[in-house]
Amino acid sequence: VSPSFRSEFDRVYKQWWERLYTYLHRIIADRDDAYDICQEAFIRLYARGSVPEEPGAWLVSVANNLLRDRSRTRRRRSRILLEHRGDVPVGGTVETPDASTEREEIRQQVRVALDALPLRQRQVLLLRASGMKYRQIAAALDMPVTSVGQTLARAMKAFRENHRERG
Amino acid sequence: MHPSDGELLLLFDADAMGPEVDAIAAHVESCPECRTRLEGLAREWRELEDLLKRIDDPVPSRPGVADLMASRTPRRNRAFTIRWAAGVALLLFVGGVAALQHSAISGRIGHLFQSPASRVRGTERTPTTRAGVAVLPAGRIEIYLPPGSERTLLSVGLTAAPEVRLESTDVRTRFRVRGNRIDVWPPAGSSGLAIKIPVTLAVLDVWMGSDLVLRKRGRSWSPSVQLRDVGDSVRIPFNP
Repeated sequence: VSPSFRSEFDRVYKQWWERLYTYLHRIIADRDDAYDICQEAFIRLYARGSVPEEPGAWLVSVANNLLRDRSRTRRRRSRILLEHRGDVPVGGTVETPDASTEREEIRQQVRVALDALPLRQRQVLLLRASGMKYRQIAAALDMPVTSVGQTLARAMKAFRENHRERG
Repeated sequence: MHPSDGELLLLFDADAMGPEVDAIAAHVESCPECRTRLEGLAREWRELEDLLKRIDDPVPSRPGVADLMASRTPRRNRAFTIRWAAGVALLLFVGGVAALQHSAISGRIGHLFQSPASRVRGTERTPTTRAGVAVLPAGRIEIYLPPGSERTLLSVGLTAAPEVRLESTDVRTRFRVRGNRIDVWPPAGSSGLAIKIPVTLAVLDVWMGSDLVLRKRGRSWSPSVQLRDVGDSVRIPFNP
């Protein structure tokens, strides 16, 4: 490992760790998986031996590929969650929800609204929310820059509607 | 003609430029309706960002680079890989002993293997009276040195300049990193110690005194120890 690569890697690692983790966690709602995939993406960058021109886009692209590998498990898990969402007993004494319950409820609403988006819209939305530029998003998702804005607008609209439905 | 929401959103991207963006910006300046839409989009985006923050957990701290390299095994699968590695290690052990019984150095090696280098106590290993090595899950190799190993030089060859965190059960142990090699001097009068070396940077060989060479099968010793860039052998230290 050359010293110049090492210092460049350190810079990218510092700059992107939190953003990549946050993106992954938001997209899959699983801390362990997000952590593992985040780590693996950086390990691959290290193993690559050079830092690409758009390191953020490269890392996201690798992470998305890793996510795809796990998508079958994730789909199964989401299905189980959805199937059991209605199992919470309803009725009886209504209690005033405390702050943490309310927080959890909001969290759940956001999560469901997000999960209902098509994957591509979710990716664009979350990458934009992580601060990536259109150009970087386009490179990470291998799509034309001109489509990023349209996809983002659709994602925002769909998210708003999903969230309102459940809010 | 009014720009679409997608086109308006382009104005939030500081990097976006070109005639298309200029045209949208010029239109918005002269169109009160689009200005209102743009403000609405900006407000909506802020609300959305706030909502997204609600699902965030604290970001786990970033591991050091050496730890990152040593963590190639996904945390979730460790229990599984430990069982896997234990099975593979047992097979290697049994196979190795059977093969060595017919080798020229069987007496010495037999001595090594018949007296295991360590006792396993829970998840900790306690060095005992024999030299030995253990390839462990989670990307580590442990080397056990017996009493009387003072001034013995143990060298570990790595494919890359090591960024490994070396640990010894005896704090007096001296390490020297030379290029892609690590030399280890056990302290004088040591009652035996264990040295832990993460192997994910690819240990080429480990030797001390005579060598026992285990041939690698496939790309790795076990599913949990990925010696991806390694040569075809790991040498087990043996102190005659």
